[in-house]
Amino acid sequence: MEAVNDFPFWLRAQHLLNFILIGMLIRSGIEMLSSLPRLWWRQDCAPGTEWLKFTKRELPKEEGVYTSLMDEKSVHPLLSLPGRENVGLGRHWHGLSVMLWVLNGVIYVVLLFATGLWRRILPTSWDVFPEAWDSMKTYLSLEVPDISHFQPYDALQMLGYTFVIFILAPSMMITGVAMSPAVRGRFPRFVKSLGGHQGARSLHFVGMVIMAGFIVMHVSLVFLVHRDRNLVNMVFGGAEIEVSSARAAQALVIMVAVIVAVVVFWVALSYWSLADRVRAQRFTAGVTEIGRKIFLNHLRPQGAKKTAYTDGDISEFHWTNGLPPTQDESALWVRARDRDWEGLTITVRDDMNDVEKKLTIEDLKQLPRHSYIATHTCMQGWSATSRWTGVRLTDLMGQLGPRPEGARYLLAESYGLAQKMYDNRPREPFYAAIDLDTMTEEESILAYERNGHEIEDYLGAPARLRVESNHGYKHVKWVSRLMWIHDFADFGDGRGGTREDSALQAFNGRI
Amino acid sequence: MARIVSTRFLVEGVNDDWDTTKALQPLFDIFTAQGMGQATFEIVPGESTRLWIKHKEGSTPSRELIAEALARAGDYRVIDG
Repeated sequence: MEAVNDFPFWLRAQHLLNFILIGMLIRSGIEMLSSLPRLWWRQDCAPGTEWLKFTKRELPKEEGVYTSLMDEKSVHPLLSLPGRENVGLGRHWHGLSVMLWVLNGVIYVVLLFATGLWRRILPTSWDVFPEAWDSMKTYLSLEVPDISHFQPYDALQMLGYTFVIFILAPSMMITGVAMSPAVRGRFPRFVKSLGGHQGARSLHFVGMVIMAGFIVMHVSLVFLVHRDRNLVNMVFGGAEIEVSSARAAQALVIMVAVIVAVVVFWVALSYWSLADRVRAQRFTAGVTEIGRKIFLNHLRPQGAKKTAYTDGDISEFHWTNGLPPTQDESALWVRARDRDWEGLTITVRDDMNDVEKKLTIEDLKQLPRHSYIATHTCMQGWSATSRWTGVRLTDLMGQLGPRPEGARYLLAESYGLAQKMYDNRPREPFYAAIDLDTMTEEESILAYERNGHEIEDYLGAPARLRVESNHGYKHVKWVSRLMWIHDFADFGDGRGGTREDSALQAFNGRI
Repeated sequence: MARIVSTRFLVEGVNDDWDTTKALQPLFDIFTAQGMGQATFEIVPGESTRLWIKHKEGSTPSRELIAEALARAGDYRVIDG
């Protein structure tokens, strides 16, 4: 038997790795989609205007009376990664998988061109189209093209693989990064060209459906068309001129065993994550932080240079995640709300030196005014564009004088309580910390107006944090105080914010 | 803009995080019809679990409907509220 080394080891290894990672991506994608199982093409996410939904729940159209968390569905860990309403971990697993998937893809493409194997995938003649059509007609008539058509791929495969590798996969990367607040803040026109956050989210979903369809078709054809030759190629690398039934059986057993092992691995990842969710967050967010540091941390919002968004882009509808404080949460906030915020103060504090100053809303309005249009994106997936007006955090904290030595973070605390604590203990005030680079960004403000009027109660009245380079879980509503702190590990559960503590989001909310 | 208030119920059977995840799903299913917007369980060892429901002022959550919803999720009962 003469072996033809058509499928070198690196190619087979990368193919297997791709299979593992695509599965992790789809499973963690299901977790993320189940957090808000609706898709829109619009500038906002008004209930009833979605083009596709995976839930029977009908939501009221009234703003500010329900929280987006009540739209979450719980998916079984066999189907999603990790399952059971864990969008934070789902997002981290997605990020970790995509980093490895892109790395695997880049190495694959480099090796493809370095070894010359690209010639059998990329069409170099227009003849590929009529030949692919002939193959298609053969398949549609439930026949199988002769093995001589496969050198090692036929024309239809060449077109399919070229589309998936060079068009579909890059499209998934582009629409994926477009959902990052840091990318949107730095490149707003790019995100707008995709239809904004919701356009990118919907296109990403459509891409996933096409990818899943390709996988089903690809795997089906492996088993239906010249199966023995395909299996021997995939497992042993070189197709013998005459594939013996024994060799094919060996390949089949090995392939089925590998597929079973991969499926067990996928499910094991879910249960490993659920067994100790904090451990899973430390691991996954730790790995993905490498990507955030390399690609996102240096992206600063355009600020005053931003012209991509105008008042015409402002959304009609704005969801909320968390409802306003009630009497049992903050009698002070409720009383002030009923008196047009009379008596309510916001404390700016140097927590290390125990120095603080209380400011009224009128005091805030005396500070330099800063206004811009930005899109708020929740880690669940909804978004809304508004004009926000307020005072830059640098100007606000300047009321205490120079930044104290040892201050490494700014922590904002709310009059409202957390929606849920990690261990379901009685709720504590909602909070979030940001690093100093993020704090000094031009679009990091304490806002007191939205769309030219006072902020609505449900969106954080009378003042809320806006940190446009990060997802919404950093944008503390109903702010009670802002503090210079040395280390966020000393607050809450020590992970840097209420959503980091309870929903296991990443401290760095740039994607 | 509707004012938001909260109502507290005491429940039995909701003892850990998995219980809260299971119990919230049927509650979310009935929320929109009941004018409810947010639910939180607070678990304190040795005490009955508290279920805080935030809702529009003037629309009181129905104890019977909440009890039915919880019962659909597991052996969970409203004991006060």
